[in-house]
Amino acid sequence: MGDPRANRLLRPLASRLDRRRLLQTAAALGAAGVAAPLLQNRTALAARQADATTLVVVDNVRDNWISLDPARFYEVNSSQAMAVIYEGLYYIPDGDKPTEFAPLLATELPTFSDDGLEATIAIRSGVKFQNTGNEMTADDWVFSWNRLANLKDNPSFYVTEYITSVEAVDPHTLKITLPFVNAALVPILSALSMGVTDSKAIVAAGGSDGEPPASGDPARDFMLNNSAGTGPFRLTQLDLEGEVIVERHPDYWGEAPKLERIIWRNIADPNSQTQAVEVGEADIAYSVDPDAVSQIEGDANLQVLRGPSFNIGYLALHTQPDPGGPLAKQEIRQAIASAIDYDAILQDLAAGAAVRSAAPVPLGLQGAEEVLPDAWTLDLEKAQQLFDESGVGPTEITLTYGADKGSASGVPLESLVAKIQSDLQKIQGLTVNLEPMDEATRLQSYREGKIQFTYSVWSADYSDVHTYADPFGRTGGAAAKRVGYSNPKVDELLKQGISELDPAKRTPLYIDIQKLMIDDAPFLVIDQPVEQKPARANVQGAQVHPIYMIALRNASKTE
Amino acid sequence: MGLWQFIARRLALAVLVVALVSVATFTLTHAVPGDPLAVVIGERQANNPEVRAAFEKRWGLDQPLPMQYVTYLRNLLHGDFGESISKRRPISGELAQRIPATAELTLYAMSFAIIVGVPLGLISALNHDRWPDHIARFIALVGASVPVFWLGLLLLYVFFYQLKWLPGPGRLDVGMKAPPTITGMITFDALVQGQWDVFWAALRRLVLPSIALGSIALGIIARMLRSSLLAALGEDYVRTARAKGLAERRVVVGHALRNAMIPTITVVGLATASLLAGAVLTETIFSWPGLGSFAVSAALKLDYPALLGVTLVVAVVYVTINLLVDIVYGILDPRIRTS
Repeated sequence: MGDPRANRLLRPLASRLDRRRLLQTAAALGAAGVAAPLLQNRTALAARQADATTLVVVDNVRDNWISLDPARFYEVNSSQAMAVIYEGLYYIPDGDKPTEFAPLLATELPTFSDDGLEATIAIRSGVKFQNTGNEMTADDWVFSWNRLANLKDNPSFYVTEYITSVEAVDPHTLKITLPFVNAALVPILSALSMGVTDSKAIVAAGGSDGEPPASGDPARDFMLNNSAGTGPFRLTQLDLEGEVIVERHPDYWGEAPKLERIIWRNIADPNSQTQAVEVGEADIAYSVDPDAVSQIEGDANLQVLRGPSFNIGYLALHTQPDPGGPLAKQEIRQAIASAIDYDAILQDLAAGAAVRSAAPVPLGLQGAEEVLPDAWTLDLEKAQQLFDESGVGPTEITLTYGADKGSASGVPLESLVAKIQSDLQKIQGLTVNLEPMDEATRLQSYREGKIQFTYSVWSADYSDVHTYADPFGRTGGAAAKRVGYSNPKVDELLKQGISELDPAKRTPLYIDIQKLMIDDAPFLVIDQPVEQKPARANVQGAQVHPIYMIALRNASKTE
Repeated sequence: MGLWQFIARRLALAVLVVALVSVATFTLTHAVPGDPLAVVIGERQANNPEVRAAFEKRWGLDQPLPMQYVTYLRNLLHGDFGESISKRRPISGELAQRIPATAELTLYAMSFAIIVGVPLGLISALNHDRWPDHIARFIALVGASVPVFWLGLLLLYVFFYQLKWLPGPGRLDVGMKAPPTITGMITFDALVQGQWDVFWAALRRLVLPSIALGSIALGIIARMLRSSLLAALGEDYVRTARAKGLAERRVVVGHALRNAMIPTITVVGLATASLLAGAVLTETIFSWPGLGSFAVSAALKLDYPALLGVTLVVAVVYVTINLLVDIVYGILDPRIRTS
């Protein structure tokens, strides 16, 4: 057996090392092998925390981020990165004041022609693009927006619906022609997809601002892996399975950021995200299980960043006999609105991690606070009375929900719909069936207007009431169409609202719209999440933001 | 039948199986109700025909189904799996990154299972019905029956969160760059290129997921080895060996174990394939960028091309492992070749 020479060499050794000694040595080596990494891991965690130049955010990057190309970007979570890489003409400096805008790459607010259909905007000079150092001019804006429109990806509507044409009057002046007078123009121009891109860099990568060839956009891969913006950070790595890394843009025109780099690290599970912050591997976690919040708040090394979200979860009730059935009657919809124990859902199920607006316009946007007193509240007697008066008699409805949709404001969807079912069945004569459906199928059927009763979510395209009031209220609007909702009074008010440039006169119009929609009850808002993000106590200047999700422009870390 | 002829026939059968899998998956995924574009096109543009047309054209969904399959096959022969609908990235690139990640995890999990499972089975069999046997059997039972996701979460909770001994989810430390790709298996690539810190970091991050994933195979191996060794120890040739006056160690290692290993090796082969199923959960918990997590998100989002790609890869893996097992059997036992 084996090489005889080796045996000869080993034999004396073997005779000296009896089996016990051998085992002891092996055990000692094994223990050392285990101990070494233990010490090393703790040292590594301490070093990671002491590094004040790098901020680490853990998020379910893999499932929620796709592309950071402004012409493709339409995801929620990755807004954090978009907001530090790309810049628009205007922005929202303070997430707690989401309807206050400030110039970013524009130098002032737009000036409008007399008919309100032409906006002229002066843009900054001396702004350099990341990586190339090219100077930003008005031509870059024309290119960026034409490319956005022509790629016909998700965000293209920002241009195709709201802008007829854009031209460069001179290198630092833009003239935008509008299809209608638009009071929400500044909010729309602040949308992250409306940020400027480096036209020369994209052309050099084979791209253009015209119709892409049949084989697809040649600059797609370039824009997946590189950034071409003016923001304080530039993209240096996009590995959605591992880490997305941005590093400081050395020639940034504005105040230099305090951080050298921001890393978004992929951890899918919210509990593991929180654990990563607790042990010090990360600085901020994007998601948290609401039950874990009180424990985090009790830890001196941690803090919870809180702020509003513009996402709403709502029940959609079809207003036409097919497929609405009994829901086509306003009294039945109102009876349902009066039978839901909203407070129990927000306080008991969501553990206070959600609030609720009265109409499908989230709190924080124009008029939503003002109509709160008109909100439907639990009143079973009224619900029964409305139900009886409708003359429908004993009836059945079916509540459809996305079985794989996960949770709403941290509440498992199954628990939420079960609660709604039990609430509604307190109305005598009303039977509610639950129908789980895979999300892709549910969304498709809902969009085709084929679902009687469902729970769905909506998020903001820009920070203005119109981004909710219009799709939910206007006859044929993206959401209204799905439940066959139409109210000519709402339509008329929406027309007035979008063209009223005076904010003092504009808000009352949207208050009236919301009141009408509350009474018509085609949509019942169930939850508007309050975003909660666990963070290390030494993180400063990071703000939960309804549009940027986490505003990191001014973030820093103390050592 | 000669050995080569036997292998050729098995190979032809394997190719046929993979082809059938591709047709079946293609038909099934497209027969499922639901629209993959529904989760891809945002709420706002859902009813915009222009945007919808652009998306349909991008994935060839505007073509009739048989045409789509022909295009798919044609591209596949050029090594092009198409573009993932949910990730908007080429699937070949995704697979190239994920196959080594899963392979690496499986390799370490299997090594853990063998290194711990074989001695466990040995201890069990040699101490038949005494306390070491009971303890070893208990460990094997726990390994085989504890759900992977639960064990994974528990390991993370204890060793990452409470004790802070080992790092958490992910393949590399925060901000650490992967070594230039040779095989895509980070520990191997780092070792070959002398990047010790990367190797060490990657290795430490493999510990918890490998234990979680390997625990299933560990239980199977230990129990299989125990029962086949017990059976072998009762055989005539073992009695003969003992009668010859051989040392007990030589009886066990040289005679009984050698025979008991044959069914165990078969099980190791099958267990490796079955780890792919466990990998789905392990990879999700440990945010491991492997095939399992890819398959889950593709299935949830009705991502036809991605689903097809991952199914084909898994089919090829299964077929290859079975083919290898068949061939090894054919070599070990010539009777199989003729049957």
